[in-house]
Amino acid sequence: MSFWSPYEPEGCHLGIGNLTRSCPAHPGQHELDYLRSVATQLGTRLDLLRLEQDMVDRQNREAVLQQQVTEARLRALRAQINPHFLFNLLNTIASLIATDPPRAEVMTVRLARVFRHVLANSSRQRWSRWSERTSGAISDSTATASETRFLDIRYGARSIAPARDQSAGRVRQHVRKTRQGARSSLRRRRVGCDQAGDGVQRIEQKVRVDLSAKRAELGFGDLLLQDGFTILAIHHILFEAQEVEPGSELGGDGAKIVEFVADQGAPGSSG
Amino acid sequence: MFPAADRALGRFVDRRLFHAPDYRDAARQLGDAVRSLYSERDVTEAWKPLSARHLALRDVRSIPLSSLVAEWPAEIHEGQIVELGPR
Repeated sequence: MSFWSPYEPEGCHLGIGNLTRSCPAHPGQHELDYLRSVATQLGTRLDLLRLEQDMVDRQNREAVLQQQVTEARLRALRAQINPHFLFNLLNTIASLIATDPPRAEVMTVRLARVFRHVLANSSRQRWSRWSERTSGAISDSTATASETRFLDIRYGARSIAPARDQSAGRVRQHVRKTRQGARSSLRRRRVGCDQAGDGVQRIEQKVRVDLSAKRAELGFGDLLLQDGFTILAIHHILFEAQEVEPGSELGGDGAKIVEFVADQGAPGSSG
Repeated sequence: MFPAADRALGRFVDRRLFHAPDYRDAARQLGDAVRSLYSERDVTEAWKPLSARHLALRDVRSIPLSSLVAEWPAEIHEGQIVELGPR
């Protein structure tokens, strides 16, 4: 003879007390009350344990989500303000303060304008429209910032002439100078108009530059390796650069430069 | 007056002559024991020796509800204590 008491009637785990007595006496009311009390306590404790476990799981999930939110915010901030570009410009401004204070002031104001534009358009797609570039909304600012940056370019002991990159020809000249001074090779091929059809031709240049030892002094490579396309717009010429992966046709250290120039007939054509 | 005296007398006889356990204290001990346990398995195992000692049981088991067979009394699913015949 046995007596069984459920201690969690609604749960999937039903604890049951087995009153298989060593003596065949029938259990009294005190014993049954005790059995019921035990079942109640066990059921309560198991419910609490499950609630605690649920709470811990929820807290863990919240912690993971919070961490992901923080990382996403950090990535968003980094995407809006490319730190390398900012560092380069700040260094340039610092050097200009000593040598050319008026120009440093102008550059600071225009840098603020660039970042205001980036902030205002941070939610847009990556590429800006051609009309924006030719309207002067950001082109003057970025051109000035970049020109000033190029003024500070040194490659080894060789000083690269100031590159007023207001035309594709100047940029190509600039690249050729880099090529001569840096054992680089230059090829270019046209890959046609872009999808927006706004009169921009995409010209892909592959430049092999020995960046391994002189990258810090080069500056030019630093600038082109930025991912912040909008910031790197130089008048009508837009750059997108990325490091060439090992084993690619360029091999070794290098950079791929994609140049966007105005198609023939488009405003500010320089192609 | 008789019921109160009968209860007191019965309790005295149970405790002093037959050494019946104090079930209220036993339940309190069990509550203290399981309160410091944090796994379901430990909880379901902790009450067995205490209950076996206080109720003079040969065997104490825990059986999951899902493993109950159909011939068990339906009252067990309603939270009631049920009595099983010899098996």
